[in-house]
Amino acid sequence: MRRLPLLALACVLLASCNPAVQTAQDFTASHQPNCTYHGQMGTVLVILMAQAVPTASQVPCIELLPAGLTVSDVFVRNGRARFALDSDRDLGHHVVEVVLERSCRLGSVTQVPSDTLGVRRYQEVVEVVPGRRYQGMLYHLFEGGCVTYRLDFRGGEQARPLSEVSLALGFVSREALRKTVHDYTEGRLELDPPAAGG
Amino acid sequence: MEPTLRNAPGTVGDPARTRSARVSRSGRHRRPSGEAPPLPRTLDVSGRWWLAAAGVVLLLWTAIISNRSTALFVLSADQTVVEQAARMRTGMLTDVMQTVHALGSRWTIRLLLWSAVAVLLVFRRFRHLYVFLGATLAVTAITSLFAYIVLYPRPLAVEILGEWSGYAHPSRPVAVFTAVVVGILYSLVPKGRLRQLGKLVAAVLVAALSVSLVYLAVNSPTDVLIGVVIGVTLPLVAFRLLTPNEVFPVSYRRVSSAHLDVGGRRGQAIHRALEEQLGIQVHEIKPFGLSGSAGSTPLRVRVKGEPEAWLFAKLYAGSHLRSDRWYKLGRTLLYGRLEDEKPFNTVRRLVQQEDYALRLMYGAGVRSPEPFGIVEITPEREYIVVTEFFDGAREIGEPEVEVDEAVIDDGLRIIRRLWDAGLAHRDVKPANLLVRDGRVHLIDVFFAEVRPSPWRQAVDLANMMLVLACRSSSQRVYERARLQFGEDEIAEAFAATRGLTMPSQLRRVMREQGRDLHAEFLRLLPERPRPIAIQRWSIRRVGLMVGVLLLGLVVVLLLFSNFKAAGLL
Repeated sequence: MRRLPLLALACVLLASCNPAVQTAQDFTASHQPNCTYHGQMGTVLVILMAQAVPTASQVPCIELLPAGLTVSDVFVRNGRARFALDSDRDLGHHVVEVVLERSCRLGSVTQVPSDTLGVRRYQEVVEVVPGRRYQGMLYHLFEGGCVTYRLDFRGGEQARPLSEVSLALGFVSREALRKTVHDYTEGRLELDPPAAGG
Repeated sequence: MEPTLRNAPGTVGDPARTRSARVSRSGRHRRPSGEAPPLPRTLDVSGRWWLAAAGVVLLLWTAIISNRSTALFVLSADQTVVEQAARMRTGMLTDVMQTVHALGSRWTIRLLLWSAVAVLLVFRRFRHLYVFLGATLAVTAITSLFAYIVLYPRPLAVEILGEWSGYAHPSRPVAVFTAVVVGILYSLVPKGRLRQLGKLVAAVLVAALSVSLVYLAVNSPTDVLIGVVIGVTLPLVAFRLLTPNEVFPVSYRRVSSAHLDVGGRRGQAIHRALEEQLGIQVHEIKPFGLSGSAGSTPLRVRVKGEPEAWLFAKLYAGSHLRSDRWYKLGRTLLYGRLEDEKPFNTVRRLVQQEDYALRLMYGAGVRSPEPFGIVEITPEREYIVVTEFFDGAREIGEPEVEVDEAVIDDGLRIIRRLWDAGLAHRDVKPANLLVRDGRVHLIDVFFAEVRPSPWRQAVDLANMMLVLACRSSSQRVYERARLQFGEDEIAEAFAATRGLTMPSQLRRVMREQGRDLHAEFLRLLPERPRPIAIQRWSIRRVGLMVGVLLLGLVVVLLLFSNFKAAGLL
């Protein structure tokens, strides 16, 4: 009988360590910075990234992760959010590092067309070693923030994986995240303070 | 005069039988099954409360993860408090709170942690150090794990004014800061008023940090509360279970780590155990001859009655068992397998060895203390070996002791008796040779070995000659030794003895006297013997060295990576 509380505690501990217990449809169940999860815009991680840069009108996220790429090195703190994509092929460890900040320092860049409304896109080639490596930067400037893709492709494909990466990554608007928080909390909570949210 | 066999009539210097008569074998108490040991590792009431709080936290987490309504309820309740706090914001208060918030910064925590580690290293309080580091790492690991599982954002709808990183729940700065402060209290602050005062200070600091985090909207109340529960419970339980104050007291007196405190609950437990298990009436227990002992806590027990009588006791605990293991491992690494280097597995076996050695020596007619048995203090943790006390005996190194030819002969006869009985003492040094009424007594037989190698026996002879020569002259000791030992035996003794084979106390005495007695004896020998190498190389030794090095490297790397990952480096 004396062991019953211990047994109960162990069950609780085991249950709480199992993320599968979380509601499957719940966006709070995802550990990835997904743009959509079971019909809702963003995940808790994306909301946390939005909190890191409260001025940012857009937050980077993963649209669709192609086979062979995995998310790693997620780090979010006030003023900065970062995650990377690793390749299990020859492309390398951190194929792309995505950084969200309040502002970016642009080098010798060239403006390129952007797929996202309200986002200006700039490209910079840092280093090209023919047949071995491509290093470059993609800057995404929008109201209240900037997202940098630090590209580092190893192997002979040069900049070809860029299209794959561009398809994998995307943006979710702050407005959409506000709606997600509002809906999830049944109107009890908002993402931003009233003054900032407008 | 020859040391006498036990069945021979008692002579001057033999153990006084009246002492043993005081130790009654009747009326001994058999510890009833299920009775709590005298020195239990208790959590105390506060420890149980904190554990219960941790249980509540686990339940809450389960509810938050598995039930959306609960999660929403907690979020909303937290939000109400955070919003209330935000309404109280003023410029000055915000400045104050941001300053207080620095308590939870990585640099503050690093400074506190590594300063405490440095103090623990200086005072060689390794057990506390391991528990401190382990508990701190465990707290960082658990907060990270549950932050990953619970996935709570920072407080919503309020401007966050402080620095933060990662998910909000549980509050990592609060948990780690609390853990470090609790660790400092239990590893550096002696138990008593000072620690109580320290707890108050710690509570104020943790509360201030928690309030600042909520005020700045870095964390919600639930985050900080659960951070506090984790930060207190883990180190508290770890310290209370693994370094109970009765066994590992925090003290700044310069005492050997081998010497345990025999006051307080342990003193009472020893007192009671001696009375119940040996049937004696204890008047007083005091540490005795601590300077000559490094492997146990020697005690002198005053027995009630007329005339005044004394017993000698040696307290052994887990710390002595570990010291013995490390000592033997060190010897094996440095010199190979010189002799039996097998460590003991339990404290019980360790004391059994001492009791057995005492009985062997006593039975062989070596003038050593009469054993009165083993007394159990806490099963498998602490035992006492009780023997006769040589009342009025003086250590041979003391200036008052006259080391004349009779004493020299007596000391050498002890070695001859050991040789004849197939025994080796293995720790012949001034502290282990007592002189009473012109007779030499050999004590501390813990290292005694049955059927030792001739090399080991030769070392005993050389050490005895060196000890005797410290108080007389090498010429005189050599001449007296020649009456009981052959030249070849003495030559072998000095060929075998050097460096580590001489006890450190003996080396120190010779160094203080500025005499190279070993060289003096070598000059006296008709032929200088070839030194016997004490380095023993084997595949086992090389393997052990490589293994220890690799293990050390792995431990360092693991610690480094864990502390780095935890942001503590």
